[in-house]
Amino acid sequence: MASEQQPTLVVRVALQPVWNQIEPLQGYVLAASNVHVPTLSERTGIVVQELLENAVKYGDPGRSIDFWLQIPSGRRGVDLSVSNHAHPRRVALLQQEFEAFGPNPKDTLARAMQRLPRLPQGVSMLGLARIMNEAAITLKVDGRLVTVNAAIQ
Amino acid sequence: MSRLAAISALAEQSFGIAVDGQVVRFTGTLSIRNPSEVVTPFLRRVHDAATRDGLKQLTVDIMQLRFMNSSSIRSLVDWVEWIRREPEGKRYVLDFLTRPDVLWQKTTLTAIQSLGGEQVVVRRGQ
Repeated sequence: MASEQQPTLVVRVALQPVWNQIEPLQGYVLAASNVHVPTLSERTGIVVQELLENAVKYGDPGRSIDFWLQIPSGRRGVDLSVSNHAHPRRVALLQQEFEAFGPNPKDTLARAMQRLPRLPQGVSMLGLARIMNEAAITLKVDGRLVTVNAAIQ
Repeated sequence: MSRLAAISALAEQSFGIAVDGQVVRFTGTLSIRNPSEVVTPFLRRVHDAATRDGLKQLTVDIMQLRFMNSSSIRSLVDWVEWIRREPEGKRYVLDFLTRPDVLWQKTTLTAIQSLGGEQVVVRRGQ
């Protein structure tokens, strides 16, 4: 039996839900992925930034955000997840967004932009649509704990 | 002096937006939490000045903009919407100058172009 290859990189961070905590982590991820999977680093940076921003904006301000990223060895890709606790209304909205996604990420992003004028100032709801253009994403909900998994290939 | 020329640059810690003739130039990394309070009002001043000056085209140079978060992309979309809502004679074209090697610029501007129709042109810079 072949021995399991160790991943090239694993990052696990419990992050305080504070805006200025995002950039240092995103910067590290961008730099690290640029070393190991340079053709995927920009997309990884976009996905990490948007997921962390959503977690900080809409998550429970009193609970930390769990960030996990792995660059596997043996295949070109980046796997990551962001977990945070959120208000039930926010969880429901997130589930609605996921269910509304169509099969074509570019169309989803275009539709998300078209609805912007109908949204109040300060709200974009573009983040997920943007993320799905760069990664395959899934949503897992366990009560108030929300986890978005992303696979970039 | 044109109203556009009178607009002072927006200079923040991580990004800047400056008006240089008929070019609006973005630099840095635009990933602040509240662009609707900072970027959108600035772009509104630019838009109002451009319409009062009777401009037909404004170049938006984002070649030195390393990243924009989705909240700040909204500010660009709002700008396109303001133009579309103007009477036909007051509309102008936003001519985006982009970097061909930057992925987010291509994805984002393609979507904005589909939204803006003939009011949005996207060019690749050198």
